[in-house]
Amino acid sequence: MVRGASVGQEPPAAESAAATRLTFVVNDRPVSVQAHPARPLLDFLRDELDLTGAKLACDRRAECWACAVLVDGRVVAACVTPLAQVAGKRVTTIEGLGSPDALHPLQAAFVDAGAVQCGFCTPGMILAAKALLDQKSEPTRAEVAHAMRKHLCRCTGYVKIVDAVLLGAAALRGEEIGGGLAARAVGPAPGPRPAAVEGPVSVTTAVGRPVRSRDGVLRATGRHRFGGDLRRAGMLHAKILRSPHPHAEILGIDVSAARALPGVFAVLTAADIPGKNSAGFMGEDQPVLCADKVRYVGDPVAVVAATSEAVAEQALARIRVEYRPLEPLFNPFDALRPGAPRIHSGGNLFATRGLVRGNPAQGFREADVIVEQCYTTPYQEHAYLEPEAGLAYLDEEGRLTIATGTQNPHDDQRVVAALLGLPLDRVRIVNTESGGGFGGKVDTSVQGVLGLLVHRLGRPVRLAYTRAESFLATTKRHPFYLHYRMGATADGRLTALEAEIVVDKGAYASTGWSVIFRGVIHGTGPYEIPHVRVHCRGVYTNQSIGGALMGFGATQVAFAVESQLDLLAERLGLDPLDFRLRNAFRPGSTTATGQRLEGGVHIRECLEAVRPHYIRALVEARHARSLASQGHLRRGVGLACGWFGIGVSGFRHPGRRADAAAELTPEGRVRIYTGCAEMGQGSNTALAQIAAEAFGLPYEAVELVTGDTAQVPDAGATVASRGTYFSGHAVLQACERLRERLASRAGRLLEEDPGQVICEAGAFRSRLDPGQRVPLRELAAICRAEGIGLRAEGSLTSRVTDLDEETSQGIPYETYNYDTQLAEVEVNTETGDIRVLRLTAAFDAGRTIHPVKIAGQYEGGMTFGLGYALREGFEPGRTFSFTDYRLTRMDQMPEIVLINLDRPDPAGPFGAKGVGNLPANATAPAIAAAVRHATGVHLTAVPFTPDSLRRALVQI
Amino acid sequence: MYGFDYHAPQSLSEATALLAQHGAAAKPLAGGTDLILHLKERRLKPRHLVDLKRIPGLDHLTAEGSELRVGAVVPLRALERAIAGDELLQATVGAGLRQMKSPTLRNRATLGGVLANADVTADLLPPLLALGTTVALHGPGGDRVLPLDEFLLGASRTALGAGEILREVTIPRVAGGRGFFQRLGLKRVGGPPLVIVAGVLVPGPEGGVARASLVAGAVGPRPARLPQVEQILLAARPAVSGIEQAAAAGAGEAGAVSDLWATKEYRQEILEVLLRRGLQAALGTGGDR
Repeated sequence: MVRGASVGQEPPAAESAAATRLTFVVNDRPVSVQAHPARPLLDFLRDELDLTGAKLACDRRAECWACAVLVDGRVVAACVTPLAQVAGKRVTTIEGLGSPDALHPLQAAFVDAGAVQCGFCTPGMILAAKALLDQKSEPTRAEVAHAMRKHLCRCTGYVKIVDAVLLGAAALRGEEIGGGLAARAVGPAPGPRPAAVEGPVSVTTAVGRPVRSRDGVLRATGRHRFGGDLRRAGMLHAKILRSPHPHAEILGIDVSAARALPGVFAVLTAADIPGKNSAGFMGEDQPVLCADKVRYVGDPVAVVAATSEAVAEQALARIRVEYRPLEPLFNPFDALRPGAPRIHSGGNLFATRGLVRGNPAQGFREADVIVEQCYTTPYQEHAYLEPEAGLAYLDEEGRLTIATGTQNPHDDQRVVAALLGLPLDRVRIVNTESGGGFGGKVDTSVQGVLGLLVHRLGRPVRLAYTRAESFLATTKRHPFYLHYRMGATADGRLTALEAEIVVDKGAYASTGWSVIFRGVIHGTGPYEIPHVRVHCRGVYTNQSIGGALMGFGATQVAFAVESQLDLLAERLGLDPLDFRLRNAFRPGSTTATGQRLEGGVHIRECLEAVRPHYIRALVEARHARSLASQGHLRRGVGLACGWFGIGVSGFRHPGRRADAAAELTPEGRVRIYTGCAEMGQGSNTALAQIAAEAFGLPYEAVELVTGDTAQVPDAGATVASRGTYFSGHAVLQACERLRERLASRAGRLLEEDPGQVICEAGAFRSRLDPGQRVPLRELAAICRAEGIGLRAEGSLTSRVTDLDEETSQGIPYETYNYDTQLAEVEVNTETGDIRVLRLTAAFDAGRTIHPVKIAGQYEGGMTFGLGYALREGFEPGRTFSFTDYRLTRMDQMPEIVLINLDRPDPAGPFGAKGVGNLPANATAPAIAAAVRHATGVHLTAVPFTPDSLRRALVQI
Repeated sequence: MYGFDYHAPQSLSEATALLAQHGAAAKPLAGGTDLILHLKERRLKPRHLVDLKRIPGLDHLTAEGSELRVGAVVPLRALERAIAGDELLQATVGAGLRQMKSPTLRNRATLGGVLANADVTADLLPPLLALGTTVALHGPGGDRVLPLDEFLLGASRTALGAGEILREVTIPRVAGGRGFFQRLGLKRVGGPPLVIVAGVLVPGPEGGVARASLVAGAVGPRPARLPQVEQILLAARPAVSGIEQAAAAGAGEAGAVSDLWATKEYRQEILEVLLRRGLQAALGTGGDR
């Protein structure tokens, strides 16, 4: 009998009796260690060897494979591999494959093919690809997808990952790749060429080019440190005690037993908060730690800091909270019932918003056909691969510093400063750049309690959410209940739309006000409708908090309005594409808010670009149906449109403005300061490209300082597709101001009119006489000596107007992007299974800044929409892991065909608009339309599970 | 820190004594592929683990004559090899085994462990039940043999008494039998099954069947025999003419339940589909898709 054997997250330390001597090789370096044989390899690599390229993201369940490493050339999940299993073997981590200066061909291929977005899954992906290619040098796409199917990615939609593996395979086989990997990765330019753009330069140096992103290189080599990868000497570990009740009063909290536990440094509750106990940056109803009441399962009640996570967990178990359970409300209709218990003191109605244009009663009188239907949409989880994590400490100036992945460093700073009652400049947020955000990292998560602990203790504290905690306690996409009534004339003109929408707000406000605003505005779809009335109520419930998620309200309403258009088209006997084309916005159209759309309105071109694919798909589907052998397999084709207003909804929010700065360095390079948050979407690369273009410099000559509130100006939250547009404008203006100032000085040096001085190849020169030039480095020295400023600020304050709550008339967004998506499906009528064969999309996101990254954004967004449509139903209290919540995997992906219109929008920086929130919106309704085409079933509830489709098939 | 005592008894009597002594605080350990996960996630917190793998006489596998006798700690991979040449066992047990995609898992997990675990979603239970498998138990009160059907009581519940150990599993070879295994699971790696159905049919005179044994799994709290389906098939001449009626009857009698993954109604409908496919395949109408 062996005494003291154990399992679990925290095997005994090396000195314990059960430790044994283990010898193995890590990245060609021999390692000999006294360790417990059951200790997970992942912990050893990360904590002892500081090899943090392998990530922990699924609570050690081998569900995501972000921890993958190679053991004797084979891929293993390091989170569930005991050290004993690698004894005598060779372990290879991403750090052993290549370095930023000497990329392995696969790493270069991942960067250039756009396979790296947030980069959290990338090390595991690259190692899995290496193992595959070592076995099979020329795999097919299907073989790659099959071999790597266990590896989750939430950003890319996997298309570019498969591209990268095939590209890397070609490079490893020694094939000549004309123009280098990057040129091969981009391929021939899709769609029509961009029209000439009015701007400072006519020939691009950076914009529109597939430059190699520097972030990508750091991520592909595992060198990028995310919040959870940071360590400091003497650091403590935090854990949060969360409410087990959906709705309860807190009668008392006794932390004495927890405080008495050896190794515990602090146990804090709401009573320990010196300032304003509010976690939200838009609403003030959400406490950082609950004082008198809990409002959902997962609400934080206390926080512990201890010498290890295990001790902190033991301390949590010793905290005694006395609750008095209250009646919980699990849907908005119960919460609206008269006499329902109040979740917040102001009642359960969180917010209302209306949109009124024309006279809907008259519009319905003019209609020949009216369709009316209810729709519902579920919670959706962001499921970024990086669970929330951060490290907080006092920096060298004694300033409270929190390093974490965030979409919103400056709002985080304001929340934490108010929480602690500190002046803003005593709180510093260092954005480590998220391993995926999608809207979920715009609210605070670890920030508040980390600030509280470090403020109290003065010692570094680390807090990393478990995956289960990330599911339980962070925001989700709001569920919507939508009742739609729409009318059209016999010749296919929309006459009226009426919609009553109820939004399940969950327990707290978060960004709900904006989501409701956007949902209402986008509720008409990108169509001219003369008579409109939309009314929306957001209602508190005792469920997960609804927040920002890609699409942001536009996703939910798109499902309803596009499904209604299909019903109308059918009643009218019109083709769904032609029917949409007849009503779609055109330049000069007026939206339901009364906004006249001028430039950059290309929804009609999107529809037309999809048309040939649509016709081809219809022919193929008809052919498939004519085959007798098909039996229970039915093909269908459907399409839908989406649109998205650029920028944060609403007038009063600080997100109306973005600031940036540009600086000429002594080396003659341009350095940009921006608070815009990189999270894999590529804003760092895009902003550097915009700066390079503004100066006429190559991308490589631009440096970027981002995310540290002590260094960079406030860009507002990086949400709502506003990064490229808002920060792009701010960067562009800062660069133009700096460039003008430098050109003026250079003009005097060159005895040339400043208007005739251009920047080229690292120097200002006369446009007329190329021999006359002054290098930027010399110019920097001259300006410095003469006291001429080498830094310029830029900003954009959007010209949106305030929209009243009853009718929402005004300008809610400066401009919009548009798309049309086409879905081809095969439905198994026996099992109700829907297989999406192909998704085709044409999109107008303005002019392209980076052709590979914009496509990657779009593919990833469509994959969000695909998962939303088919399988992602988050159920509060039942969904805690990637087993319960099914993300789309690599071998489940349909073929994706993209048509990027690449049309400049006169309002955007270099004509760019932004893309992030657009692609997820039209996917679900397009798939629903295709299922309807295949089976006749009109789906009204997302997601379309086999179960729900069978239910519907039985009923027709 | 959570810990436990590890015991490696060298004989059956030593093992039963340990289990009887510690009662609910002890858990027998075979392959551990399920138990260790429970320990890790603290769903189970036994103070004692009794490892059965060192006990002589629990790792035999004999495939002689009319039955297959499999020791409780024989890994599934060994069973897979032993049935390689047997068409009926391949179509039933083999098909169930192949659902466990990871070879590492098949090398580790044991047949006894799978049965004693009584996981309602286990792919092996329906085929073993359909074949008429029996289990031999050893306990403080001596040995006894039970049909598998009586051994499985419900979700994670078996007939094992205090201190009792599953010693051996006997899988009969059904002469001339034809079998099938059908399953619909969630579409992802290692996705749990929503419905499993397995069957063994012995052809009889006039195109009928002389014996029919059908079992549905993962639909309710325990795998269920489908007696109505069996009766319909036994009465049909030829048997294929009864397929539609049998499949329709099956949906109602499996005791389907709703859960996070599927509704009761969906399970019933899918059971009908899978029964039809399986019966068509086993009765040679080429309906297997």
